[in-house]
Amino acid sequence: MPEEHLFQLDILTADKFFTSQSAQQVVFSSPSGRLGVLAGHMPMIAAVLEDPLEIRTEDGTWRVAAAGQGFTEITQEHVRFYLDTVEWADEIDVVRAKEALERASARLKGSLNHMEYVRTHAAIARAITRLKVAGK
Amino acid sequence: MNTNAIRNRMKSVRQTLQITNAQKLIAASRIGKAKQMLAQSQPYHDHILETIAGVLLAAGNVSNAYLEHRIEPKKRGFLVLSADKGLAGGYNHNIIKLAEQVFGGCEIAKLLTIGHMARNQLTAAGYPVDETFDFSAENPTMFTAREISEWILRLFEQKQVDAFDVIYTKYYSAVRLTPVVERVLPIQPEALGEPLIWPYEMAFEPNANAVVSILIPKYLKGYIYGCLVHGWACELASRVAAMDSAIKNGGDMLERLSLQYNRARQAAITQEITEIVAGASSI
Repeated sequence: MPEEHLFQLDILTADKFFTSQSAQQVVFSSPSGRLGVLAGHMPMIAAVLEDPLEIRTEDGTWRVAAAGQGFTEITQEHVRFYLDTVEWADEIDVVRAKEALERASARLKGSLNHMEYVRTHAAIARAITRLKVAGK
Repeated sequence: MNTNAIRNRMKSVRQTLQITNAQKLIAASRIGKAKQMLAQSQPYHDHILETIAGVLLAAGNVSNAYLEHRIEPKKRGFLVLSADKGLAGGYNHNIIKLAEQVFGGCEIAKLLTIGHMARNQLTAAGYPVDETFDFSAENPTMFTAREISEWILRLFEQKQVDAFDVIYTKYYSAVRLTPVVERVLPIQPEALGEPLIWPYEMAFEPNANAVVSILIPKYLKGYIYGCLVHGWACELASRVAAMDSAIKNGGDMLERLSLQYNRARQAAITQEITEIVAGASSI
């Protein structure tokens, strides 16, 4: 792979430095849909939604992670993600995600105030993303 | 002092030393993890600050509730971070002293505390501590950081407070623990530090306002997590140091007491011999 097709990709959460590597491409979901970023992308700050985050690594293989909400900073030097949560597909606890989904769906049937509603929705989105990424 | 009294005293010193030893070992074993948490949270914290400052600069006129500077911030809110337990040297004392200095002369609309020491002492001193806000200072997690930051954002949104400060102890090194006061809301772009200046125009997706409204709660959550971790590391470092000096003092005390004990014992023996000799010679 020629150098100019690679860019520096950092993924951070508030409690850990998730990964720092060079990559060929990264694909994530923003409010207006799926966005793919290649080297030399126009500088941008974008919101990131809960959805699979796909990374094409230096050697051309794809790795998938479950991303939580956050945002990304795309500059000429690097692409840096600031996320609430992020896990590699093989780190996902499928049983826990399924339980979380059931719990949240049950909660949605009751009466909720605005804050609870927002949180429950976020919990459902997180659980669905995890299950999607884990492929179950 | 007679030998029995000294022996009892030595026994009690030894028991106290067992406690201080155990406390030191516990704190010392936890501090490694706390330091690691601190190191892991630092990159997010540092970079997000630059980015926020940069975004606010690049986006120009952004309107966001959390940026709103209300005229004459009369209603002030505070969060004081202390330890749950004592035996941590000057850690609790220093933070409470600083808090009381800051409170001096201002009207407190809301006072939140983390850790039982601040809660108990500030309540006893007559400050209006919010009793419904109850979080432990031990083993900080992202989950508690999120709850706390949502609490603060809500207070600001509902205009229960016009300005909010966090009072906590910053960890620089094992011997440099500094209590600080930091304004978290409204966000002051100039206080965020060196803004990142991009040499080209930035696009915002979906738009600058939406990005800022996502950025600020994320920033606050990361910031609060940072405060919790800083405080936790300081508490442990302070406890290790305090217990170290307690162990040393206890050792010195035992040495002094055993000297006294030996002297008293010697004196008692000498006296007994004198008495026997005197008794024998009088027969």
